[in-house]
Amino acid sequence: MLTLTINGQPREVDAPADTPLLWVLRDHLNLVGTKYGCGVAQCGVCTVHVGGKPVRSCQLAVGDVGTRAVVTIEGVGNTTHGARVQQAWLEEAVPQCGYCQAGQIMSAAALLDRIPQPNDADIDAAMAGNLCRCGTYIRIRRAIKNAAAKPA
Amino acid sequence: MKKAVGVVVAVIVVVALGFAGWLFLGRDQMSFAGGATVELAKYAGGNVTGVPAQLADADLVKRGEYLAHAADCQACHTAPGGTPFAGGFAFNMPFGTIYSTNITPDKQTGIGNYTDAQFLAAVHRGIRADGERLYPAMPYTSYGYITDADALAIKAYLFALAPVSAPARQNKLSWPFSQRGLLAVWNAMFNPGERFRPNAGQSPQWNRGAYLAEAMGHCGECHTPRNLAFALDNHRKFAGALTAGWRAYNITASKDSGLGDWSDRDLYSYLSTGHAEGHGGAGGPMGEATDNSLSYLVPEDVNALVTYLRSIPAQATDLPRTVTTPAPASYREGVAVADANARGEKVFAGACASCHDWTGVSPVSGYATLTGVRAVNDPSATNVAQTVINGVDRKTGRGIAMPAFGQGYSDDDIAAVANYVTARFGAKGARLTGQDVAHLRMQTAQEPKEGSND
Amino acid sequence: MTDIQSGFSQSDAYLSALIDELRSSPTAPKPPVTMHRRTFFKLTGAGAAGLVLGFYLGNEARAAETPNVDAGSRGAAGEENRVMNAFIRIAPDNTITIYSKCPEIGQGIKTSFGVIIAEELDADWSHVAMEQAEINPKVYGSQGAGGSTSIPRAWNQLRQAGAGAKAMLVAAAARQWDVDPSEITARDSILSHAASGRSATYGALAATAATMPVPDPKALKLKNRSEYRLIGKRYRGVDDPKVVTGQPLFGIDVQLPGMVYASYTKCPAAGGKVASFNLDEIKGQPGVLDAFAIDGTGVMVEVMPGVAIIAKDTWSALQAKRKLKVEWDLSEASRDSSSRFSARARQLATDFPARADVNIGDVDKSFGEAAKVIEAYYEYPFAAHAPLEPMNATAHWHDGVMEMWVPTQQPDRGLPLVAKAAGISQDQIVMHQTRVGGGFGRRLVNDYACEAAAIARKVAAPVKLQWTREDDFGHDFYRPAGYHQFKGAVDKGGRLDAWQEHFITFTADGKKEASGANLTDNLRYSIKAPNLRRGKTMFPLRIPTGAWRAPGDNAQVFAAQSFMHELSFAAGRDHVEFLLDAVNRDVPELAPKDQSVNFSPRRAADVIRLCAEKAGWGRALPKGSGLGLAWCYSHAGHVAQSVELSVDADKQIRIDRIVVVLDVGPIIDMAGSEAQAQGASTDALSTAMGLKINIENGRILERNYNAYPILRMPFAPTTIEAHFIQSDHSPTGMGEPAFPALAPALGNAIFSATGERVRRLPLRDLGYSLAV
Repeated sequence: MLTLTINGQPREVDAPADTPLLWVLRDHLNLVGTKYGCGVAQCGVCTVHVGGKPVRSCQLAVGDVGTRAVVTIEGVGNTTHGARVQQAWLEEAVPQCGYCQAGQIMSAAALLDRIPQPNDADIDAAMAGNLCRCGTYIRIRRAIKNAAAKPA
Repeated sequence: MKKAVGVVVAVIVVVALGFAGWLFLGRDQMSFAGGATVELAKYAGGNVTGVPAQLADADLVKRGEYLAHAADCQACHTAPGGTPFAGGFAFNMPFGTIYSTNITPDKQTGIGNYTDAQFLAAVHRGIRADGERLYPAMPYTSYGYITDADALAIKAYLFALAPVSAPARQNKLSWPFSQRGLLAVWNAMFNPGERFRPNAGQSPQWNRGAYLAEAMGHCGECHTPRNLAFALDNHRKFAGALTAGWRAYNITASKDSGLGDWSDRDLYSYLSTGHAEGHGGAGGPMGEATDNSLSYLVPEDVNALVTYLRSIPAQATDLPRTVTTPAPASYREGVAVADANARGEKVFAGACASCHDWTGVSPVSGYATLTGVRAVNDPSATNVAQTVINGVDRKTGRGIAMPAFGQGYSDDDIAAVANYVTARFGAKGARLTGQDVAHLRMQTAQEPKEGSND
Repeated sequence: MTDIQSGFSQSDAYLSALIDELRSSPTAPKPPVTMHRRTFFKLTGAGAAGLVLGFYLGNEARAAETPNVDAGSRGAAGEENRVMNAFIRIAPDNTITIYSKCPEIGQGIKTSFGVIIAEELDADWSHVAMEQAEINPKVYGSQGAGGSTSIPRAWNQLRQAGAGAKAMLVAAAARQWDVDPSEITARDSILSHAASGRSATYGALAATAATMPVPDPKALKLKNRSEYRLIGKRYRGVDDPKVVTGQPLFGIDVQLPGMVYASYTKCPAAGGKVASFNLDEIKGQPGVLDAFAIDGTGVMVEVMPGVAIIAKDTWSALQAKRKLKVEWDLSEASRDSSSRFSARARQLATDFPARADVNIGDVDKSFGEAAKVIEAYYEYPFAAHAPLEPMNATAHWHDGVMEMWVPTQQPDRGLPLVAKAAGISQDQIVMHQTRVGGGFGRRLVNDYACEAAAIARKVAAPVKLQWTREDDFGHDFYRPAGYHQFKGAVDKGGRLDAWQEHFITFTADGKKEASGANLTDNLRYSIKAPNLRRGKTMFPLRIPTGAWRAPGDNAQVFAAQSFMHELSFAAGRDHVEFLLDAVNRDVPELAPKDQSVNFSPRRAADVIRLCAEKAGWGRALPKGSGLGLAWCYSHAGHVAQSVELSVDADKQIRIDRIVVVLDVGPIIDMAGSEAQAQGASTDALSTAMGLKINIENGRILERNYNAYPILRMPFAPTTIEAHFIQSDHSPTGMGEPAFPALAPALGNAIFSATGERVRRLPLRDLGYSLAV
């Protein structure tokens, strides 16, 4: 039995330590907002925050999470930047199919945590690992700038 | 005048003979240790060949299995994704491509008809059942040290495998390398052709390590540089070499570019699992050596290897010391301006940063940490580029995998990202070009895999 | 089990028919007069819930054929759902719920359908909720999403539904207030009577409205474009709040009590069968509950042979799959090689087939007399769809019912196939429609749903089948590669005079082109050479092909519009003028025969001209820069695209500007339409630059995104200008038209910048990359 802190709540998990956090979130904890896309850290749809950093949950064994706090798309709205990013996503009508957007939002919120006023190069560096098959990149970039411009 | 010519000729002859002799002396893999060697039976420390004590009472096939793992027959005799031991692995060399052959007991396409004597001739002397010479891609200059009993145990194991019908692929060699007969000369020169002789002045553990490293594991075939005749140059034993498109690093005691800074525990961990914290993991051919061979060794044998490796005299190389401090957390900092390349950075951001992080310390797995890794601190970036091209697919433990980017990314992209990675996380940025990457690709190219579920 | 070849042909025939239907579906909607009165049904007995108006959407013929359904004859709400394919429910609290029958795959249909109804209803959009309808083709007719057909098919019905509901509300108010209905105005879900100063919300009037007679659709006056208040505005997707907060929406998100998880492994070479596998080892893996081989139906769009592993969670199923060792019977498996196809096509290209498929005018005479004759060979590769949500489906076999949750573009078409795969009748299936994490044509096929149903028959629990990304790449219905040998002539007036095309393509059945591998009719309208000869050579192929975003057009337009540029350049003509000449050419044989095809030379010319104007066509550009333009008629849209770029010595392309001009009639949702225009252009750029699928020995070599480099943020354009020529023509779909002309515009721009002609995709293979 492992104890994780997810979205501020302690959660008990009965899963082998080598199970990727992704599948623990989805299958064991019914937090299905975090998506499966490639299983090899190439698409970014499984991005969550672990210890405040964006991490590909398909690659992180649940046994390696340790005491680091986990925040998922279901909980990121409780953070300042998470809420701003979600609001900006709605204002810019970013989603098309929407499947990648949880991961995009998690990466964007982590970016603003580090760099509150990112420039284009910062956005490129932070968002390059998140694929969008529908091609919403133009609005993602705009939404990140919109979120950064929101009053504190 | 005539006299002068005669002197010149004499000098040339002497120099040539001297050079040849120097090459010749370089063939002895264990001479660095000095001291006297004795026949196996006369060594006071007991038998250092064969299987470890745990398996002493096992049946012949079981013992053969252990020894076949120790000799790592599988890595070369298996095509990527193919049936183990059925051959088909491509060795791409400057003068052409050689394919490994089927060593399952199939009578038509394998070695099912080999007698014991024929098997020993192949393993020890590189002579096929039909009398033709084997190319020294088959490491018989090392396998020559294997005892008859051990070689025949391996044969028993191979003969217990299911026969697979897999005809040999046609080698693609240019003349004169296509002439197998010429190998007789090479063999006379470079194959010592004698079984393992323990060093009387060394401990049983050292001798066991020597047997495992030289006779079985044939470490030198990759890690020892080759001379002009393509034979091992043991004057520079284990100093590192470029083999089949990958760089096998200096595994001597050198503190700068060898294993001088590695603890025994690091070495043990690396040999048994293919990974050592702070030094990174094995990929490419060493990853296969770990998966197919080293990870099967019992702890005593791994320790024996550590003991033996520790005794190898340091050899200096031009590789820099590894950088052991992580890179800065922000992409904006860290890479020297001269080494910055925008394309490398963007490719890294998209395909690599998720696992390797901008610091080089992986947020997901110690196996993905780049900080302190020798390959990343190799300014040729050979292994970095090869790893990017071919990925990592390790079986040891819970499996370690990195996707192969060779198909999806251009030569220029791969060169850019290899240059960026070595600059950001290593001692010195590489200067690979797209053409270099194309050349590296050719050296590790394999036929498309068959038979797997993928 | 069907033998593999006949199963393969059957599979291909299924997909070919589907693509044909999507391509030829009425792009110009039938005029409203054809609407039958029985389009509407008032659902009485639900009076307490306010006004509930059911109506048929999509399948007009079927609506007319269902006379035994009548107003007032239905009581229970559950039954209403089975009868009505869509409905508007106006509740006393003034909320309006609209059910949408088509899958939301990212094309924005769930939003646009609501906007169209709300417009005629004069509803307050902020009080409109959209819900997904259940799947029942007996009632709903087609419930698919594909071919950019949803909007044109539904346009009139949706508008009439909104107008019909409003008429009943107005009638109710007129009766309550005892005023003339013509004096009542509606706005934002409120009815007002100016003279008496009375007003009431729709919610307050709903119960009375439910007692009003159902209006005759023919009598309803629909709004003019100038009267639109909602249509054409910017909307966010109705599901967006759930998307951005990670609420369960997609097929993969379905979690049920007691659910188990399955993986399914098929032969990597299409058509291979399971000879044996390591059953005992697999059953011994951690978390594994069961494992078994499935023979399947041998039809690719249904269930191919494979091994199912059932486990207690997805990870256990996927881990065990890694340990799976299957001995495949390859006797009927594909041995195809894309590199061999490519080499062979090149050899055959200049041998025009003995029999032409199209032969108009006298091509040889033109070649003999023309001012300029040029030839060129074009080639593009196979491509995978690779939507980000990997194929998955959940099935629960219980109480003689197969209950399913499927992220699919064609739920209705899946039903008979699922029934066959599971050995049950169609009536035993209850299918729930989920949001779809990307379609691009992949999910027109329901193979994964069939597999889930076949597995569920053997499992006493709800089971979610999860494909890996490697499964997804390895078992797609690929965009076929294609090879075109062109020969074209320009007359002394500098006009296109002859076009000869040898198309080398693929066949699954040995008789006709494989699905998605035939030349589309659309191209004829953009070429319109008075002398036209086309013939084809077909390679047998045993890799399934299918509909990939803008099937056919997505690559054929690249070849044709690039060669058009070669011709205009050879003739020394201005390219825009040359294109307009070809568009306006009167070649009776090339005029659309089907009245529902809405191709219009004027609309085509307008998008080309506007695109040229917006792009600054004719400007002098610095050395190393180029401006390219191409156009297409695709999926009922008229589209022109331009790309302005520069190319450096390392063949790095810096894209300065992309302009897309579309005429798809009036725009319903401006934000959504811009998103589609930008997204399709980005997808097209991504595909042209880097995407290809290689096949060797019947196996797909690219198995994940590391080998299939979909464009990433740092390389994506930061702006794409979309302009819409809005007209009174009926609206048509936006999912596909903005894809095809981008690649030729890109190639033409590269030629203008460098003098090097792009005749092969992807550009990565020619050494090009996008600059950073």
